[in-house]
Amino acid sequence: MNSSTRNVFLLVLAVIAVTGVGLIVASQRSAASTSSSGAAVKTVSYTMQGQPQTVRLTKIAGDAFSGSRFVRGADTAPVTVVEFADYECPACGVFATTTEAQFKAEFIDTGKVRVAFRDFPLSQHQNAPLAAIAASCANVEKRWEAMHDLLFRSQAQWSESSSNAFKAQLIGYAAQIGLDGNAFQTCLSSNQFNNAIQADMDAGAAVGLEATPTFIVGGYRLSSALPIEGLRAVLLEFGVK
Amino acid sequence: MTATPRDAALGRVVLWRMAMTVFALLGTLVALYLWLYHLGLSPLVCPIAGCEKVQKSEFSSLLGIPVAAIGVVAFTGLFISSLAGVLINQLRIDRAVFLVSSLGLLAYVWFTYLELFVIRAICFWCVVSSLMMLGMWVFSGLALKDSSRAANQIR
Repeated sequence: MNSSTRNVFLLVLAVIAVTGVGLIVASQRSAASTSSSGAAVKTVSYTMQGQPQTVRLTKIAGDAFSGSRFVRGADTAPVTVVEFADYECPACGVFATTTEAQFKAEFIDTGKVRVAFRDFPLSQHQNAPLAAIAASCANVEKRWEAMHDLLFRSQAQWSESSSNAFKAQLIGYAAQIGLDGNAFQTCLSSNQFNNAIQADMDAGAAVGLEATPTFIVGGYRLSSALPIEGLRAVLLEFGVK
Repeated sequence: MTATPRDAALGRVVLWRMAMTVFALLGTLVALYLWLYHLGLSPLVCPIAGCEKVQKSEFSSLLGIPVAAIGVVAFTGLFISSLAGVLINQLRIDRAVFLVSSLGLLAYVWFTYLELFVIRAICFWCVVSSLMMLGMWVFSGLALKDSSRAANQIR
């Protein structure tokens, strides 16, 4: 191979390497600076199964909590967490079924943390909007938490369903948690919660939501679900032991 | 300069090694991206849903080592070997690279099976990464074939 061919080849390699590294760095930057003011980032480290883990929390502008409908925990709790989630998102389901019970027992039930759940149905999940409506309808009879738990627990059974089949499944779920069947069906077909769900989504967009689930912890955005070890470390950062 | 069949075969070997180098470099970058995500240092932006599910599954680590880190090490090794083979044509790297990329490809077959049938989600960047390994395998196979052809014609 002559030296000019070799140099061109090396140049091409260098361009690919620089572009690739540049793209990776740019994607990190964009994640760190979506908040408008200050772009303060907290880094929290913890150990899980002997492996060091690091999470980044980005300061957000604005109030993610205001207007929340599904709130658990004491109003006097020192830290408020706002969870934005989609009932059809697998990562949200994993959090709800593997971590949330422990989190609730340790932090919500003990008055240390107040948690608001806000709907953020993603456009690529066809059944997510109706699932959000179903949870709102269950809330009419104060059974939001039961519907929330049941939807996440049975996510695999309905996430691939056609919309008609899903509606039938929802009616079954409503019966399981003791809702008034007729009222629930009427509510499900109505659009009475569309504005409320849209308000949740607007609140999510306002805090620079990138993925579900996203947690706003004491005014900082955490863009992934963490295991309980991670949540303990994050809350410790906010003075909650 | 008269081109003998041996020269032609050697010329092709260099060409295949160049292709291997490019695939290995791209593979290194993709694995690096996935590893940074695994460490919590970078968000994962995927054009199709599924990356998170795969990356958060129990299969994203092997004996405590993130699979993406193994990918970075493997692709970096393949990159250095291929580049050395391009710069120093006499180096006989093709058999080793072909063996490593065959093992790599087998690993990807296994992980793709896990994605499709166990985790039931496809991770876009993992698929891209497996295509890079497929490219490595194809071109190192061609390089091996042509370099042994050239070697046979010396005798």
